[in-house]
Amino acid sequence: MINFKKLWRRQLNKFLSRGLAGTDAELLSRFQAVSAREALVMMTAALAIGLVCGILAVGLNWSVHSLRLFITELDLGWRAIFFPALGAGIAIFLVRSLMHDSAGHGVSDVIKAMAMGSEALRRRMIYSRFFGSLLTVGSGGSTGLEGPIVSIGGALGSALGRWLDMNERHKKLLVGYGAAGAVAGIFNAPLTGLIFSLEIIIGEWTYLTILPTIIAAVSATEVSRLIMGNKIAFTQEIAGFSIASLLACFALGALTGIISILFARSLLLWEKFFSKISLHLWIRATIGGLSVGVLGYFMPEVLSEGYSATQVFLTDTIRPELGFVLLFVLLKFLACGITLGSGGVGGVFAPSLVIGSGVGLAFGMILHLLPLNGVAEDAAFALAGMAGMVAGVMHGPLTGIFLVMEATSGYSMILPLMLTASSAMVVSSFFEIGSVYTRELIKQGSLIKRGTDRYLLHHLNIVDILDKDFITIRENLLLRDFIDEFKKARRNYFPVLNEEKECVGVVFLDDIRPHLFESNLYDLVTMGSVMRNLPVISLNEPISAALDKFETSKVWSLPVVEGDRFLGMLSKSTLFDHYRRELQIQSI
Amino acid sequence: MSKWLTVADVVQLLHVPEATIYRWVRQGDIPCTVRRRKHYFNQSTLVSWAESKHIHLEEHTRRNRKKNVPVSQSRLIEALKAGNVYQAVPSDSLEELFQEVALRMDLPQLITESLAEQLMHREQLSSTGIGKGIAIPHPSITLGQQITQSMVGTFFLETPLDFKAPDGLPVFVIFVLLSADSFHHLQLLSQMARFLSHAKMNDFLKHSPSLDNLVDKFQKTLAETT
Repeated sequence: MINFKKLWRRQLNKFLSRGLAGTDAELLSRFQAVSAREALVMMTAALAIGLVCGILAVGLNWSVHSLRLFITELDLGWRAIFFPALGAGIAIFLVRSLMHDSAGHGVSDVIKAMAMGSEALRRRMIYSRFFGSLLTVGSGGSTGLEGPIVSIGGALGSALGRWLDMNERHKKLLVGYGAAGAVAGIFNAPLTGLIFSLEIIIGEWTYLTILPTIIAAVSATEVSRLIMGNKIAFTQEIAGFSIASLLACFALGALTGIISILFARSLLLWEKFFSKISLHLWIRATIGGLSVGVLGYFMPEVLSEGYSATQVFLTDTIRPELGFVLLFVLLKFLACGITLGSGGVGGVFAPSLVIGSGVGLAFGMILHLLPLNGVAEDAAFALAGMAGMVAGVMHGPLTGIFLVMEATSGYSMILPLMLTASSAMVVSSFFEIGSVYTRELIKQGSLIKRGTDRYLLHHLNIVDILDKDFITIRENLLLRDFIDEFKKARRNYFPVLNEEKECVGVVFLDDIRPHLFESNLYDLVTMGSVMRNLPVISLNEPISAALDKFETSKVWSLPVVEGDRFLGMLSKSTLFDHYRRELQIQSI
Repeated sequence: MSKWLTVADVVQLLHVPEATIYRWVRQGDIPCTVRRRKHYFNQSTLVSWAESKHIHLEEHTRRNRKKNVPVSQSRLIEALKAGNVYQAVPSDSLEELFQEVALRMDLPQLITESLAEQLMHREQLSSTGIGKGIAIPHPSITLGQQITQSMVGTFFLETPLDFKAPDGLPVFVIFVLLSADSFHHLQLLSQMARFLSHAKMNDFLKHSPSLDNLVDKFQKTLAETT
């Protein structure tokens, strides 16, 4: 069999660099042609990813609904409370013990991979997340399929990138395309997939990110429509929106913003609570599943994704009571926290939407109780609440706006959606630095976006840029002998080593220059007494910490050590030279 | 209680040109308030801003010290005062002398214990005698932050002692130099070596002057030489 990777690599390089030879004045325009070819290659890959993502998204959605239907048709009465426990237990056993995967929130895994390297998304995630979420959500676990399908899409992109032997930059882009395809496929919403991927996953709006993401979103949506038909998730016709209602959207945004903060914090609390139970992971999940099953016995609507409840909220004819809606929001809040906290495989996307619709509906109902004229329908507020909740929880206002707009297939709602989403985002980011997805990463300091200062510094390696063309001196050296040494020097600093070859300080020529020609000092001054005690940079610390040391010590060169061993000097000028080079080569 | 900083203060704190500060204000990169067409910076806001951007603010103490650099002459006087003068110090051997030095000078416990050894170690490297019966013993590595202020202890010896000085003359007075900063060390050492080689100074020292006289004399010599 021929070596596919080698052949592919050669053909790809040939294709990408065609016309780049020669050094004439047209090189720049030729280079543009090369980036266009690169985009073409990536678009082709995105097409493939989009198609597969579409199939997987539809497959997952269909299997979950079939499983739900099967369970409800069994009609077991109170015994049904054991199903979520069974499903969650088996799912976690499968994922953790058989497939050796962690069951994170899905989207955070993908965001982390975008920052730290696509290797984190392994191929086994495709199966483990698929079956894990199928069992968790299908059996009644109160969470969503979107998180898992996004990580499936990301893992798919990463796997394709590795199979094609692509570089890290391209692999990360493929992960982003996969996420777009996944969201577009599961919601039947191409724009949402595109916006979600650009806003939350890739975080970069350029030629090479937008075009292929569009292809992935379009192909995934089309596959989903071919299989399932072009169904609009929530049919809702909203008439005009009065100014009073528009202003009310600010309040609704603030409300959903606060609720999204509470939601995010309750998730953390449940996680902490369950991590204290020192039992095997799948037993924890079973306990969580059982609690959710009990909740579901009293109110079956909180089980599974819960979109059916949202559909009810949006339909005028079968509108529930205000008390029921509030209770639903509370129980859904609890059920989702328990499901995810106990380790269930799922995401926060669907719960956010469902809770948001409940909050919005309740808000609208309360508004109608007040003596106000021209307030829009309750359902309109339910839709705005969904956008607000997505914006608040995921810190993605655009995603929220476009998702609701596409899911209802109506442009008429655009103004209230925009207002609610943006005010929810403002309120939410007032209390929290990052979203549900990025908060942990920010805390660990591992959310590093391409093109930022931190990204550039993160990728500079101290060892590679050390200065070594200096002369080291002993601390006992007399000024007289130093003068002989310094004639040979190329640098204006001299690291001082003790008997054990450890760096104890640095002598700067500038410090002693005024006294170099005072011959009565020649035998009086030892180098140990004129050296400066400087902070040392240890090899395993990040460059940002090293830069802080430059800031505080106000010198241009600092010694670098590994343990006690002196390796060389890091100079600020060399560092910035390399920093600039890194900036220059960053392609768009 | 200066809670509001002016542009000049911020220039000092951040070590960037004034024009850069104004550009940052224009670009909205630095928190700032404008009152009566003048720019003011809230101190605590600025501090937290600098922290979030990993910018090191120049501390006030450091600034003061830098201002003091030109008046380095008074530093020697201060060091002499801090070190004090001791008369008729027993000096049968170098070891005994340095033990006596360590005990008499007002130093933290940790330094008192190791000072004699450090001075001996330096002496073994090469003599600190500068001729005409004078020596400037000091540790071969500056004490740095272990002491709060540089000091020069003046010790008149009971009996002159051979320091293996270049001119071979026995030493009758030593100035023990303990510096808090390697940069000051060199300055102090250079000044002392220069002053103490004056012929007049040598005669003056032969009379074992008191601290006040010594300080007075040094001040006069400093005034003459500059």
